[in-house]
Amino acid sequence: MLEIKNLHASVEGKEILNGIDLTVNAGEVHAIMGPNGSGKSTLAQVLAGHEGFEVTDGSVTYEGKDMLELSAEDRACEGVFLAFQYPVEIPGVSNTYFLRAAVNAQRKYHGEEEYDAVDFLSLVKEKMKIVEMDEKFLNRAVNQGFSGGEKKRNEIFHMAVLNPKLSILDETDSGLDIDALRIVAGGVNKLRSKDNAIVLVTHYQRLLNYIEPDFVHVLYGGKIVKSGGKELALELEDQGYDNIREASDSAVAV
Amino acid sequence: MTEKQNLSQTFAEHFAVLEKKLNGKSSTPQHKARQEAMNRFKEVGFPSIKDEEWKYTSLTPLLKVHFQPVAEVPALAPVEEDIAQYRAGYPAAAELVFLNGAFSAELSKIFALPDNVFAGAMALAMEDNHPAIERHLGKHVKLDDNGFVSLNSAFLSDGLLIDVPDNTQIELPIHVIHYTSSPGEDAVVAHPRKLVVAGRSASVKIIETHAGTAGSSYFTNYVSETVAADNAQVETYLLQHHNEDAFQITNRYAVLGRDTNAKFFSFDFGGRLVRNDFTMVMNGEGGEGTLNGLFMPRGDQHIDNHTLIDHAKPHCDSHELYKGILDGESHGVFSGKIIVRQDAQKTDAKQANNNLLLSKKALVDTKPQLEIFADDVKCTHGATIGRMDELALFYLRSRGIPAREANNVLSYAFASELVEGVSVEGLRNQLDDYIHQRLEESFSQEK
Repeated sequence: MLEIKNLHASVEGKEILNGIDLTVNAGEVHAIMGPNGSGKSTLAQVLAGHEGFEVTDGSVTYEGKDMLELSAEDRACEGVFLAFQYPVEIPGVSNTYFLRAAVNAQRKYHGEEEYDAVDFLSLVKEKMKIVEMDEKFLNRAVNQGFSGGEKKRNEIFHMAVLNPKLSILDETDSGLDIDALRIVAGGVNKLRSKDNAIVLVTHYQRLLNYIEPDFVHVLYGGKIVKSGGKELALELEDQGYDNIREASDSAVAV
Repeated sequence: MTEKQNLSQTFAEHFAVLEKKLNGKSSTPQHKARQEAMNRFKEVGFPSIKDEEWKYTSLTPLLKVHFQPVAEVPALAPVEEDIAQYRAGYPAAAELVFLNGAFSAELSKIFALPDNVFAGAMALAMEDNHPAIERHLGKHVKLDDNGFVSLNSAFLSDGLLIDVPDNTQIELPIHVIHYTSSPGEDAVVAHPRKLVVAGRSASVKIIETHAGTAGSSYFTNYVSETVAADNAQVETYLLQHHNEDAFQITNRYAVLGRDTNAKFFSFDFGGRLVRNDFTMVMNGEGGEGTLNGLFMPRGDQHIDNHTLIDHAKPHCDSHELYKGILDGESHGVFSGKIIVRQDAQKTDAKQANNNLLLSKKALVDTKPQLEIFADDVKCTHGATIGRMDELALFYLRSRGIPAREANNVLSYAFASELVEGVSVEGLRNQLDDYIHQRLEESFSQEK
């Protein structure tokens, strides 16, 4: 589904991604872990099409297409979804309005008929159950006045409604209390299927107790320095990132 | 002779033409008032950018226009096709049409007005010695404020009077169209006038649409007075849809009584040079006044809003919110002054001006001012000028919403607070559509 080769990206002349290689197939869940500043969020945003990052080398192929040629909105319409680390507050735009605009933009892209308000509402109410969200959040402005946990839950709710093929969850677990984490992870697990793929960008191993990954990758210095199964996450939890740091820093020195 | 003296001279000549046509009515009290106003105009003249209150708005483009005398503009034929697009289209108690300031009985319609309400031609009310005219007309505006008020008063012969007696409620809004018809070569100047008197515990909603002949240059010099007595509920909406060659100067005054609740909204879309002055006086305890405005200049439009909220009595609340969405090389101005008099303890005054710049060349000047003479008051004010939030834009796009639509959604969201405050559903929907359309036009142009 997704094939990243030798991806380099920089922001304001500073290189942040330094040659990423990653292949994600349908039905797989990949966890990308790494210390602060390793480039995790940059990778997520580059994949979603953030224009603030310049891709300087490498390629990203998604469903056989050159993903780097697609605008952010076209990537979304092709089934790519990014759950933001810091979901954006949008005063004056209700959650339902926003979602309907998004769903209809995607349907239009595929030449499908747009939803009217009534049909859309019944779809949305169905999907709210996945993240146990209260209906009051439908009419509130997007993320405005939401708690941290509510914002993250809202991201997964958006994911449920948009039904993406490739979901990239950027630190969706950070800052959540255990109840919120359970709900968010439960939502993700319900959306997991053999046809879609999920990339979890996370700082903490804790999330992986709730969402079991097929692969774990460690990102450091803008590169994937180690890959393995879910046991790698436990190893990292035990030993921290110091071993990784030492190993890769000395490798660079050589 | 400078351009300014030139135009003043032109208006003095216009006045002379008017006087000649009075045919024996020149000694009436109304004409005496006109003469006084003309004399004041000659003294006060037009403001210049050297005046503090006019430093951001130069009248030069207006002063260069050649205007034909009001009295020599041929009698206007009813122009339903010109007016049609501005008709309310939603339920209204009446729809009153004014052409160059004069009431048009042919184009106006009364649907459901209580018998004791007067809503129509000021000229008729003057002839009948309507008490509202005697008591209030010209009693609240200040001729000295600027030359435009005295000029309007000098040419005052008709206008809109709405008089709602005590304890009378009008549920549906009264819609008013002020149309400046300027079909010929020379530009027309119109001096429309409005007086609204809401009695004790009366309630009324007024929607005014200002527009004019498409594609021609003209000047609308509007003066309005609203007197809302104790416990009255008044809502006024001004929708300004002039073409982008037109000039509009408005001077509006509102006086609120005890426990009065009055809301004034302005939606300014058109005009080449627009200057709005609004003075709201909180003149009775417990009054609540709202002054809201949305202005959306583009191209080389210039829209200037100057407001003054005068808290004269204690325990009054005022809310003021002006928002600008500016595109092209347009220039927006907001100057909002709040005065809290020594007497006006427990005043709660909130003022905000937020501006969204859609292009690199748009410009806005904003100037909040507080003058507080009482010691137990709450006053807040704030002004912001910003561009589109790139992160929010990316958030919308990353969910599949195309950039153009995302820009539209976010700009609309910026304005939506003002639209949501509109209590007339039909108007709210119209504004909703119109603002979306305007934004669509902005974002369909490559920048």
